[in-house]
Amino acid sequence: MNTVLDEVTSETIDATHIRRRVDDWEARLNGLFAAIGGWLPDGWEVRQGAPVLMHEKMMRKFGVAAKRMPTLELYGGGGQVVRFEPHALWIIGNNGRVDVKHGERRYLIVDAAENFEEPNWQVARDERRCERESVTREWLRRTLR
Amino acid sequence: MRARVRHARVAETDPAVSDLQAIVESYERIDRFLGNLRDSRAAAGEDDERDRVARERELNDQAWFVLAWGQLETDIDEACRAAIRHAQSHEDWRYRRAWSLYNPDDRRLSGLSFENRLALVLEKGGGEWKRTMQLYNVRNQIAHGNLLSERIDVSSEIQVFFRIQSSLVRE
Repeated sequence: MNTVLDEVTSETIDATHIRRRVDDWEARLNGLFAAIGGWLPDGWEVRQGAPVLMHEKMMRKFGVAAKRMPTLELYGGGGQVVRFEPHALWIIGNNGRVDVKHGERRYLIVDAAENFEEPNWQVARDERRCERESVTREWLRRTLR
Repeated sequence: MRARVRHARVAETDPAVSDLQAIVESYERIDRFLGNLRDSRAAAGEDDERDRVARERELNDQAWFVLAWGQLETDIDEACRAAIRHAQSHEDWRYRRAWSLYNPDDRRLSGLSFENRLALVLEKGGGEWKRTMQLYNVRNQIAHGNLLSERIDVSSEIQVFFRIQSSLVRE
């Protein structure tokens, strides 16, 4: 099952698969947050945010226990706060989404890779969702300016 | 970015693409509104309201997905009609005889199922054909009253619809 669409339309999915997907999502989030923490410009600091409880319907359907997922917070010297929070894993159309709040601005980060592949993080402004670009150091620094 | 620009150009001449573009823009406006509403309920500690709005967002995704699907299906039917007409105009009867079984002017396309209509304009079993059939099954599930429990990224899926439209073989 290469995509969420495959999973949603599958009749052979089981709890073992769901647990693997949840563990993989946690690992991808940790990888993304580690990369972002390493890309911060001077004057910014990174902190682990309060975890959010993940218990999506796909997990409940197969009796998979809820799991705490990491969040990330960036603090700027001028009092700015940027918060990264996982929105959901099972969204038809991508392989998980992370919401980013930076004051009034909102960004959506999605993994455009297939299931269990190397992540392909893409980001777009909430009001221009089709205009995606890769999540890179350059994107982050531009966003934090 | 490049794909979006190309679709905008096509939209000037293709009503189906133009409607899809309008649908995605309208969907995003409403989903943003619901997202902000959910956040404000969460910030106020109103968990029941937060969850209600989250469910409303899921329903909203599905409504817009089905609306967008209608545009794609209409375009697939038009591509199918074009393919039939093109094949029926072939000079060699041995080529056109099978195609003469279909009436491109019939509203129901001579009773062809969606699967078979799609097979006339996309290679059956190919990646794009499979993806379109999966999306068709999702559309049927929603339209026949069995709502999904997952969200749909309608913006992403409409980009897939654009890709499917550009893959249809109309002759």
